[in-house]
Amino acid sequence: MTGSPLLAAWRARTRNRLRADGPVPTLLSWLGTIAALALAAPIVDEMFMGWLAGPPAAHHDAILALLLRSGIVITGWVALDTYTALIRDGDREILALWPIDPARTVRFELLRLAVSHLWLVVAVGVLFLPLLALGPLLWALAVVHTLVTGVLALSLSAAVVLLAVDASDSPTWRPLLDLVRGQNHPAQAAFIYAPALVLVIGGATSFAAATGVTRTLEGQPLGVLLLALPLVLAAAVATRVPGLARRNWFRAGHVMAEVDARYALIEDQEERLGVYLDWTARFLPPRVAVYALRDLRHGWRQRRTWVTGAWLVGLAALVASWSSDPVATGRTALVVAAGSWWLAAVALRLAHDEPEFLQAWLPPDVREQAVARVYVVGLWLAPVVGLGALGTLFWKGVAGFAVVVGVGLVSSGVAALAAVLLARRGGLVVYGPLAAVAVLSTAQGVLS
Amino acid sequence: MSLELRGVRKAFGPVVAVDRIDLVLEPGTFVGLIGHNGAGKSTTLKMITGMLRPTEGEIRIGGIDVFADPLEARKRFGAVPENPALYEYMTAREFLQFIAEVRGASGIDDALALTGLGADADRLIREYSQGMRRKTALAAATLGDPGVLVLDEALNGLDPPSAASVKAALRAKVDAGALVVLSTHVVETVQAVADRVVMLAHGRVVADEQTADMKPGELEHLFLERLEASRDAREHA
Repeated sequence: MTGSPLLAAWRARTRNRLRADGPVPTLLSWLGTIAALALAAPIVDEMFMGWLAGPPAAHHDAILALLLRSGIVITGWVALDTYTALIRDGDREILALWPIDPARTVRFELLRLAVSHLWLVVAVGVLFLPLLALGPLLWALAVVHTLVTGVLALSLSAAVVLLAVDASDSPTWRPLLDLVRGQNHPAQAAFIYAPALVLVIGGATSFAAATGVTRTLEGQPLGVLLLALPLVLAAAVATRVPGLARRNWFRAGHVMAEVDARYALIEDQEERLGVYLDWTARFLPPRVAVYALRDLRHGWRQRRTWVTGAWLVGLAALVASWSSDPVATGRTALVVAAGSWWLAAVALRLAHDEPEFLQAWLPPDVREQAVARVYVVGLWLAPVVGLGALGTLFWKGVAGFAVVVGVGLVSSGVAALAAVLLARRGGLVVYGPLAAVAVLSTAQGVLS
Repeated sequence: MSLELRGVRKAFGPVVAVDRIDLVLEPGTFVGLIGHNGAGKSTTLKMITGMLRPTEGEIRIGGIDVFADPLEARKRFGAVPENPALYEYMTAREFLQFIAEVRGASGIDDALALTGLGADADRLIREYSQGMRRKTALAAATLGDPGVLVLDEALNGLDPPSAASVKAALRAKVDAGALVVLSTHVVETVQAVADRVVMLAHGRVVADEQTADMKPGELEHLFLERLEASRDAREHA
């Protein structure tokens, strides 16, 4: 190995992973991304590109609005991933024991993040293809805007999360953090609000860069300078990152250990109190309730992002429904169907998580286990259908409500059943294409 | 290189895991850290290796404060945690090469030979048993001959020939001037290899003895006696 040991180790791991697992997992992840893009493109076109057919006078404001939104999405995405990579990543457990210069570690992590997020720029380029209707310059500037926003988000996030270590550990900040932390550990509050701070600064700079795009289109030389503003700010912030890394990267591990210990105490209490929706199991036949309770507890403790993610997808369905637009019902039904198929894949994870000793020692009743799991996954999907249906009821009345509920119940039911049945044989290789076909068929049905 | 713990205390909210430990461990000593489950052994070793910060007190390795100068402190010790974290998609040889580069050290083949990993060194770590993972972590910890070795239950899961070979190698390092701190709950292991035994019960040091003058079985008797006394003291408190 030569050069950076971290880079050489990363290369070795990537090479070994490819040799050991073959190209299928990588190809599947790329196929998943391409499928998601194919699904998102018509929705983005429908929701955010309608102004292209409108009068030119409205283009200026519409471009600003579009770029501000994409800038915020990119900034938020990068901010959360930077927090994970620098503070919470699994590699910290390995690296923190060794005398590695934290500045080198952080520089390497930022490089790795930059490379692994390049696809976002390509994805935005694809989603922005309708902009070509107004000429290639607008499309190219929009893609450049995404790139510079991402670079700033990376640099800014690194500085802010490392500064958050200072804030989380400082008696000066304690009173303010106590005010905003809710039930969280005071130290965690600084990390919760760090991405928000990045979002505010990054969003404002991204908006300035967006005005740079419109000014460039109008032929004003100042436009290019405004478009480059995120890069200038990113470079200025980047000069502070090595010092912050040396001061705070190791400390971050100590802070997180305190936070985790606090959450462990809370989880102990939660253990006594039960988990989300476990009360529903009491209405099931006892032989099914045993398995349903196991899945409800396991999902809440180990796969909580999937469980709570249903509320976020439900929120997206509510946003899609919140309009008098004639296509709102079809759009909501599509979001509900796509969200259901996506989230129902948690059943594949649940099957994967099952410890071998449980399978060996508990005589499994496959039929009752499957019924319980379909019930649990369906229950978790309820917010997706419920929130979408609620918005549609408000704006479209009972007819629209019935469409969304119908599509939602069929999609969530079939998706849950398919995921449970395919978890043991076929897995994601079969479930993924099946979901794509189901969602595309739904799209064809509800949007026509 | 010496290791000093001064008034070290660690509390997780209301739970006190380690309660005011004062220890000075000299170079050229093999120290056995023993205690019941939950006695505070792992918490103490995590603080020594800078993975956990004490609520109170300070820890110095070779005079360097582990928390004020974490990078310099890490140059002075090698450590095997209770559950070693390793790169799953690296071979043991690649992992050792990585650590050797980080430490600016050589001697990968010697480290592999010490743990008897040679034949499996080019297999991916994700295919390893717990014992083999521990051997990899042990080999990595010894790279660059750090002055202090901090080993948390590091002999657990090793097959008897490997355990014997590791014990002999650790003894050789101690004879060459290194300080080895080995935590375990197996009293016989400590009596067989350690020069000095530090006994923890309920987060406190309840005994700190030289093993040279002990008769077979005496350490176990002492351990049970002090543990009982610690329990009684807690109940009275």
